[in-house]
Amino acid sequence: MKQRFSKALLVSILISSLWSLQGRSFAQAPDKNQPVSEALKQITKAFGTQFVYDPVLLKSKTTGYNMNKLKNEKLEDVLKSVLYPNGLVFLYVKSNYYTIVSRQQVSGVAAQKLSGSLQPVQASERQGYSLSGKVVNENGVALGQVSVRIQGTSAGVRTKEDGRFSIESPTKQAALLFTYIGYETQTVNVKDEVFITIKMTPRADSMEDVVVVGYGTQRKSDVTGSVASANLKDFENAPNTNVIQMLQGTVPGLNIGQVTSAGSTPSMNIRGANTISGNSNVLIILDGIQFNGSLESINPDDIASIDVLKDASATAVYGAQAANGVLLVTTRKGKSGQPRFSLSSSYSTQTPTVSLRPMRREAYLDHVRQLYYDQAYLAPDYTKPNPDFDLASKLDATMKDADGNIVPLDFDWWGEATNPGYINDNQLSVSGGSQKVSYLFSGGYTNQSGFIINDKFKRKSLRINLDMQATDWWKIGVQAFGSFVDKDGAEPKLSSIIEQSPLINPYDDEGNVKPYPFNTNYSSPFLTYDVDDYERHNYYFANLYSDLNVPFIKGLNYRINYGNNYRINQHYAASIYGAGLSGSASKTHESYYDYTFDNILTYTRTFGRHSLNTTLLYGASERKYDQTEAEATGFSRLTLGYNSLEQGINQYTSSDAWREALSYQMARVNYKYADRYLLTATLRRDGFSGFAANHKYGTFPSVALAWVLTKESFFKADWVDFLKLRTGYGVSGNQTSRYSSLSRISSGASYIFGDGGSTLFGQQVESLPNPDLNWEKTEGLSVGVDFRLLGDRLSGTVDYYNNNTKNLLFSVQIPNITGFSEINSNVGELQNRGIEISLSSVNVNHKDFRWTSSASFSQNSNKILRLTGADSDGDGREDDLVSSGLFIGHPISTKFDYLTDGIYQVGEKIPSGYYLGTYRVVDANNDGAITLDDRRIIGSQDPAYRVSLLNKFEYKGFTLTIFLNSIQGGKNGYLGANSPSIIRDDNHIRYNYLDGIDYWTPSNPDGKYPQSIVAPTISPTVYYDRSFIRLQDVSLSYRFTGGWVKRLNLQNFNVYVSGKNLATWTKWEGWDPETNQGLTINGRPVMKGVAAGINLTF
Amino acid sequence: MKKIIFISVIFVISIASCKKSFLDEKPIDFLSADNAFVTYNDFNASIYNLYDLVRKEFYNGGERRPFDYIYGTDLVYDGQPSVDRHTNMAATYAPTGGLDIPLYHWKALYKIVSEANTVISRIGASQMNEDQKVLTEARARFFRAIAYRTLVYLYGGVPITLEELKKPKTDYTRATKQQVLNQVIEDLSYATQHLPKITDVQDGEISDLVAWHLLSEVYLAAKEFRKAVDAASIVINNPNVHLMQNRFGSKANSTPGDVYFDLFQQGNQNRKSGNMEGLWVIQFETDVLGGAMLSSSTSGSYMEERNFAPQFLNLRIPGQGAVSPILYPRSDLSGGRGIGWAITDTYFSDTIWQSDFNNDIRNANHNFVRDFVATNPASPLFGQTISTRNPPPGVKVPNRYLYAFQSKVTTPGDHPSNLFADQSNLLLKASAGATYADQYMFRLAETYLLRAEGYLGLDNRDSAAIDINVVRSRAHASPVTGAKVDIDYILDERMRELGVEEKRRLTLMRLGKWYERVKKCNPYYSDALPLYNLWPIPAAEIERNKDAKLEQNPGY
Repeated sequence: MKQRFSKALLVSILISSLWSLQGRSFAQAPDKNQPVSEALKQITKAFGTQFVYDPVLLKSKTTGYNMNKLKNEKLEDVLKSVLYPNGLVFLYVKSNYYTIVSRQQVSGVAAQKLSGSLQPVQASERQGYSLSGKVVNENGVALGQVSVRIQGTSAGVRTKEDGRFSIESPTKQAALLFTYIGYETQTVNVKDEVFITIKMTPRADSMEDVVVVGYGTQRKSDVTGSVASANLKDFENAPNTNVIQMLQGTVPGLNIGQVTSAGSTPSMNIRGANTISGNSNVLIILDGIQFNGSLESINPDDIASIDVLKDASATAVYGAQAANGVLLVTTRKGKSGQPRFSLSSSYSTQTPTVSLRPMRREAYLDHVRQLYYDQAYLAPDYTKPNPDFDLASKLDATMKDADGNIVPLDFDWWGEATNPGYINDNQLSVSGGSQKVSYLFSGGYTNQSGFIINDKFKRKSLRINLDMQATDWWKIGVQAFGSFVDKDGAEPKLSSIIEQSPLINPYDDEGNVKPYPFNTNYSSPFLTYDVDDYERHNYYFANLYSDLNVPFIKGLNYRINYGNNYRINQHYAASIYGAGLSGSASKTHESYYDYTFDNILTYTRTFGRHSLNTTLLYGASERKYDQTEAEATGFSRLTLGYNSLEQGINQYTSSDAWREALSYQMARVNYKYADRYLLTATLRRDGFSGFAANHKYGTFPSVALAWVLTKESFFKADWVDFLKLRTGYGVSGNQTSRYSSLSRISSGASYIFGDGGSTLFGQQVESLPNPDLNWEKTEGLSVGVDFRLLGDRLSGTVDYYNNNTKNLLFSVQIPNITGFSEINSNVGELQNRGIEISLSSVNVNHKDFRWTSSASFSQNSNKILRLTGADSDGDGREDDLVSSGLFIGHPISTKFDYLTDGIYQVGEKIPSGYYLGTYRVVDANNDGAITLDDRRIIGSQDPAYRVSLLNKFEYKGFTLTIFLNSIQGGKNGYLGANSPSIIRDDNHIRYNYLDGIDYWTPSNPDGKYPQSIVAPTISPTVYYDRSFIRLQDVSLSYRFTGGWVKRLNLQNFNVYVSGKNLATWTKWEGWDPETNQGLTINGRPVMKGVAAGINLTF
Repeated sequence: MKKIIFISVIFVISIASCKKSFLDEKPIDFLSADNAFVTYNDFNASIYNLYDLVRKEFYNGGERRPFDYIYGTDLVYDGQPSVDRHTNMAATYAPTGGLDIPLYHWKALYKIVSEANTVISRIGASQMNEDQKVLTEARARFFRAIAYRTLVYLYGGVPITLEELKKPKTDYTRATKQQVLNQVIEDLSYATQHLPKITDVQDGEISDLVAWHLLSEVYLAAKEFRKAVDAASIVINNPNVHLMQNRFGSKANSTPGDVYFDLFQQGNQNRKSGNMEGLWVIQFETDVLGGAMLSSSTSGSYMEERNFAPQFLNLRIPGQGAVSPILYPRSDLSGGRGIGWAITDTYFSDTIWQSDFNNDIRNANHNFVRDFVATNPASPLFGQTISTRNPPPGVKVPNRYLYAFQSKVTTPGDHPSNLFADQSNLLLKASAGATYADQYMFRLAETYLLRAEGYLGLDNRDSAAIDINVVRSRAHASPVTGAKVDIDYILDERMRELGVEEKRRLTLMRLGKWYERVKKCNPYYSDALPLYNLWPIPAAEIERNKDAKLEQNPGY
């Protein structure tokens, strides 16, 4: 070490002395009568020295130096005189040994002597040119296994342990590309026979390479488990109001659903369903604290990063709550420096992605006619219209005038209940700091109005993140936000809007809403809309931390996180139409509070090539929920609405509450040897109040190993920049829900004896106890590869996992004879196996034009391995839980139902219980009757695979991103129920339906969906493939770079347009394949939006 | 290194010092079985719930399911054909599919069994005194008995379970019909001995007479006619009950009216009103918690009016304008806000009354409404009478918009004021449709008819006739002779006296005469099959009972 250092010192002295000469003038006029090469030969003779040089370098270079002076001169002075005027310098290699290079060559890099035995060779004898050097890190320490490649060729080598490399180039001059994970890639132009030293600088955007792993962070290259960081950057311009929407389709294995109402949080799961009926929520950790609130409260603009812990070895640090994966959300922090103001604003349209609408007048009338096909058309074919048919006689009286004629109205209820929606989003933040303090203040206002009137969402959010270095060894800080969500206003029920007849006007002559448009007790959808509705959700969050580097013990750190979540939900409503038009009003108040108190002790040390990081955690959390509701009905005046409930004749109150507590400990060791062998071992113990009496605590171990192959000296594939193999095993859990092991007794008002008697309160046993109820246990084994190839042109991750979940929480169906229909139990075993691939590539990387792509693919197969273990039917094979729809060897989302074979047609022989126009149910076991035994496994609701592709094009200031997302069902997968059917009863005649549904009628014998006069005995649900490809996000932004941007002192100024859900390609009929809503009146459309916005930072 | 160990030790100690009770689970808004069965009050809470469960099963468990006891029998047919109204019986009574009606009632009745079993099993360890224990057991056993009695009539021999279940059981097998009847008899016998006297209970509470009445019925099912007669006699001979003979109660002075009319008027069912005929009256109160009925909607109430009264809304008389001649919905003898789902068949509306059409007060127009006044001023027929017996030309009767119905299903003029859209015209809101009166589960008139059945079983037709004539004479109907009494006559008499008040399906299935009567009286249900004399064991239940086989009833 010492020796190497002194050499380096010598070199630098030499170089600096060379430079110091630069300024001097060489007044001696050269005698241009001798080639330099000739002069050198004479010098060699005179001094006995050897020179190494590229002959080309000396070509046509001459010197006027008087060789006769040689004997009287010092060698160095002679060389200076000969070489310097020619722009050449000489480098000391060893005694009597020099290299000669041009001055330009040394100007970009540090030149030094080569201590190896480089022999002078003649150019004519050589096949190529040797380029060599050494790579060091920012501190001057040699870096091994750095990839060195000659740009434009596939030739490449790796640096040795001492940082040295030598590479053969076919040309004398070459651009060398140096890449190393975690460092900026460098390109250096070098020439043959120069030894260069390259100093690598760490990546500036180091956030990308540090991942949050739970109770700490790690360099990405050190991670042993399957941890993915979400790409938030490329989706920041999309019109999303919920941060989770930004993740949709971008992280393989993280499956995010669609939303259909303003501000709502999409469904989310990681790597398939690990549970049948247990909690399936992904655990969300916000700035280190478990977050149980709604994600609607989080302002997407405040998020700096989202990391996803996918495999059990990574999630095990969260033990009993982690089986569904963990999402780690980190908010932005201030950076020291000048205050940085950031402003952004956007506006987006919101329109349905599909054009489903209820029928209008003519379609509705024809629908009634078709329901009466047996009268409106002539037997036996029912295709020829019956001239005597009186359509008016079949219609509800409300659709006819006083003379019994059909009213000429064609009212557009749908139009009345919908309007173009929008999202308006505004963000302002200030961040900055000094050396001791950094801060971030942000405020956001989001206003979303959905497509259905009164589907509204407004959010105000405020955040302060502060970090303060109180002393050299003690840091304190806070992450705090308040979020205020306003969902005032009640929607008209969409299904009810669809069902209203276009032949009925919702308003009477005075313009008042008709409460019962059909004169039945089916009320107008506008009754629920025309109300005084106040709905607020207030969220408060603060995490205070203390981070203390324990004095006198190097590497020991003690951190306390004290997180507090508080939220209040208020829902107040008053309606003059409520309680049978007698008026109703109510106030509901909910509050929730939790705290998390974590003590984290870490010890980090590096001993030579060993580095060690130990984490000990002790924490506790308590959660409290309270709810109070007051309601009154029967108001003579509702002027004061819900603020004067005492004016109602009937007054009701109810309240609810629960408490739960958790206590946990965790120990983790991260060990690293020589940056290439990595080990993580974790042990967590969880206690939860909701666990049954016999199982209050659970223990969850994990271990993971990783090996960075590219750091091995034997690793020769020079096109591979980085290659890491990972494998891990871990156990994580899924908690039972609170109180689920207890026998619950509900109580409430039950009965009254005698006229004018008073209320008697009763009680009823609601569930069987199960003191052995245990948490679900997911054991996961995973193998993964992380790689970067071809100078970072292609990088990616491939993961394979196999998770087995045991003790599945499931409500097993039991005979009602017991008084209960199910019991919370642990049954069987479930397997989730899958592959995830994510790839990023730089396809084109020119100065002005850059094209990058990232693709992700994930495939998961879910299979029940065991259930109760019983074989009651004695067939030697474990029994399925048929009544619960669970089958061994099949996914839990298996659909087990009757098969259909078209629809019964006119003239066909139809079995009893079935009618013209009903499904032809297949007698699968050929016993002549349709019974439960005719059900068969039809397929599953799980997708075969999910795939997405993001393309990003940057041209000068323009950035275009196009994101395609797709879920594919493969064979009999990703099924959704879609079998609308109509029978001729009062309401089906009276009510309106969605337009354009292909119902069977005698004149439409190929109709897809059943329509009959009487309901059949069994009308099975029919399933269809939901596969789709969606153009989910498109964004075009332009970043201004002109001189005026600098003059205005703007750090960033960009404008953009973006589109969301612009196109969907699918065979699915109905609202949306992803929301699994077909041709049902209960569906809601998914919105598409076109947004425009501006971002400004100064 | 030493320091690290020291700090780690401190850390571990702090972990260990965590309070153990921190993770104890104490539910704070519900009770658990461990603390809910201690005092007499605790047990009473379970008993009150049993009252509610029975009320739900037979009266107010929605607008459809309670009426499964009447739809698909010899009384009514469907105004709006649907599985809900038992049209397409193949679907209605299928072991699975349709609306799973057999499963619905199976589940509800076994819930009663299960709650009663829990009470009975928990009595021993309770803090109640001996009297309270005995009384509580008698009550619980009565409710268990009524559930098993209903189950055995509907499904035949069903699995018997008598203990509180503490863990799941999936290997039930069916007992025989006789075993179930014996169990019911045993429970009821206990109840008859230990339930309080009718004079000692509150209105609506079960008394020994309620148990005797039910026991009599169950003895009939068990073909123990002597015992049936004796049990009924204990009720009949009790001096504290008698058939009402004279006008009484809230409408005593209203005309037209009579004592039969008075029996069904609002406020007239409980003994407090002077009614000595009601044995067990199911209680309803409006807008009181636990009273089940609301003035704001039909939800939670007994929707007899909605099901059984005609829907005049859509009545059109050809050539008499495009409006209904009868204002609707109106709180008068037109039936409130009926929707004509259950149309009285002609056997019920005409055939059974032929002998005493004009003298039987139960057939008087205010009790069995046939003639309706055209109350709509916009109709050319305004003020005239529209009769089901002599319908206007072009109107076929019965139809959903015009048929004869029993006025006991409604409460003319007595709807809650909140339900009136225009009280001066008695016009109701669309949210009307419930029957705002208490309901007889058992009435003494039925006890007479049960005893008559017992005598018939003993082949003592004269005594049977005497009992029937007690009921008939109160109704001013001519007496019947013993020679004319057979089971069909008694079934007809039950129609006349009880009509839709009766859980008709139970009577017919108890007697195994469901198919015969439906075929005889109600041509509408042309798809009735003999196998429907018993409902199927629900297929889902067979499937859930995975560790033993529940045999299906024959034919399903």
